[in-house]
Amino acid sequence: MLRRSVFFAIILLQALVTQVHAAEKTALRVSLIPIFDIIPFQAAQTQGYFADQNLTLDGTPSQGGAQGIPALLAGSVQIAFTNVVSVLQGLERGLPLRIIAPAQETIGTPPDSAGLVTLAASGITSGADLSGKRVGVNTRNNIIWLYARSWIDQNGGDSRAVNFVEVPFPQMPDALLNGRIDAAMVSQPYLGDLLQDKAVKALGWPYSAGGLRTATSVYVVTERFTAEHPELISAFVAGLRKGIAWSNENFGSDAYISMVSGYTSIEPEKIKAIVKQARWKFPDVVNVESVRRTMELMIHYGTLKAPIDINAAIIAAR
Amino acid sequence: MSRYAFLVGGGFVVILLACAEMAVRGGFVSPYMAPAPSQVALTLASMFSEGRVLAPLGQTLGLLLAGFTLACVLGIALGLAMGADERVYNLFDPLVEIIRPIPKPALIPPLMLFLGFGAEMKIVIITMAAFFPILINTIGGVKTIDPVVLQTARTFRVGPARTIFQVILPSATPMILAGARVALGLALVVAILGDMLASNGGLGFEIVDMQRAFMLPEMYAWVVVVSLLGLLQAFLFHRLESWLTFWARNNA
Repeated sequence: MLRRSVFFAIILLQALVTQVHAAEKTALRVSLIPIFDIIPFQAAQTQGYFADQNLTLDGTPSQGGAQGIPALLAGSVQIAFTNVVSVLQGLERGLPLRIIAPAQETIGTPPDSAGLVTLAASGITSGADLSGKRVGVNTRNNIIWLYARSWIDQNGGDSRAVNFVEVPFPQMPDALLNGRIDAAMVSQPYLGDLLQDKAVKALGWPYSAGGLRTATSVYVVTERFTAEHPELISAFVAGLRKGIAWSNENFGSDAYISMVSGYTSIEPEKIKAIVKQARWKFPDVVNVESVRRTMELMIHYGTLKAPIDINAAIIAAR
Repeated sequence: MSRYAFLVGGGFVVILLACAEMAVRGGFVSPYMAPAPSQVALTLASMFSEGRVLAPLGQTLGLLLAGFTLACVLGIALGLAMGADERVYNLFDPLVEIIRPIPKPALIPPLMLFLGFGAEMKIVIITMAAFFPILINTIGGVKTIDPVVLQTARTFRVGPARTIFQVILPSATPMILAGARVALGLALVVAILGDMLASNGGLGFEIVDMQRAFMLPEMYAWVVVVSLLGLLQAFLFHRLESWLTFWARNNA
């Protein structure tokens, strides 16, 4: 009788401990695009930095910020990886977005985090050649689309005469090589993957005009989330910061390459060739000055009515 | 529909819209998900007055009509052949039964690989979507012709061409029209979907574009335009149906 009681007591205690332990770990859903921008996030996942903070993060793929932000507002994800242009547009329309961490900044010199490519045999060399042609972007109305338009207009073309077709980044190599699109603004590593094909040539580097680094993407949450779960935001940022540090210190290492190959589904040899071309250093603060430049471009193209104070939307994590 | 019935139904719609309006203004529905119907109405009005509706509407409608017409011609032709001749039916039926159940939107990605993003792809997918209801109903219409009518035609030594146009088609017209009505609805669905995926204009393109820019009143306004197109389509088809049935009855 006593042994049975002790036995049950042990089981109950274990169940209790497990329950308490489960309550401590919080599961969050994050919408992601499988590009180089999220390397620090993936590093934090694989190195266990998020787990150290008692966070379980479940990544769901999205085509771009223009899809991630509605998912965020609808509550199907808690954190969205998205580009700066979509965030600014959302803020202007009164969407309750808050930036909690930076993701990617361009390097400022080719080969950059994204660029325009076309088939070598296409004969396209300038913006004017793209009139009436199809240019692939992951979604319209985002930073990729914006800078592609800017490059076309600055290189002899009229971006209004160009047909921007939405193609998810992982599908861009196929779309370009099969002739479904005539050119594409592709993000790494799909850009590097394409450039290793002899049939493809680089057309232009819209992000590298002026050699300045430009903040392209960030992680956002809703205003309500910042009010209700500030501790989760701190935990996320702490884990991500460690991921950023790891990514910058271990750039090009075997662990780095196999991690990137894993989430992008591109062979490790190709990833190795891409990382050899440029030294990536991920930022740990949002480059606000560069966002101002992006805003001017948005106003020029009519996607933003007036400059907005992005500092008000950035949550400085403790 | 009697005018009274229309008022009851119409009034119901107005009441629902009023509830939606109050829900948004009262904060029960997030304005980032659905703007107030009044705002959508204002946006719609300005879109019409600025003439922004015509080009995308024309593009979608043009492709829709092209695909639908092609589907009618092909569907009725093959339907007549399959309905009249047992051998033709046995030849094509397995193929039809394999392709027909596939929801045509599922065929858009493979078709994009072959035909790209342009008007050809859209017309092909619209034709495919509209073809099958018309085909099936034409076969049904031909097979259920009163044999006495056919025998009468034979007795009077009516030639094959005249038999088809003056005996078979008029008899089968009601069933063919029923199939065509279903086909028109499917064609609209596939046309809008094609616009959304192929990204070069049209009503579906505008809906996606406005969503990308978080311009929700505009997005919903375009959805209303699609609805209006559907209503217009149904109305015009109803008139066509009356006229054709009259012609069929008088010719048979």
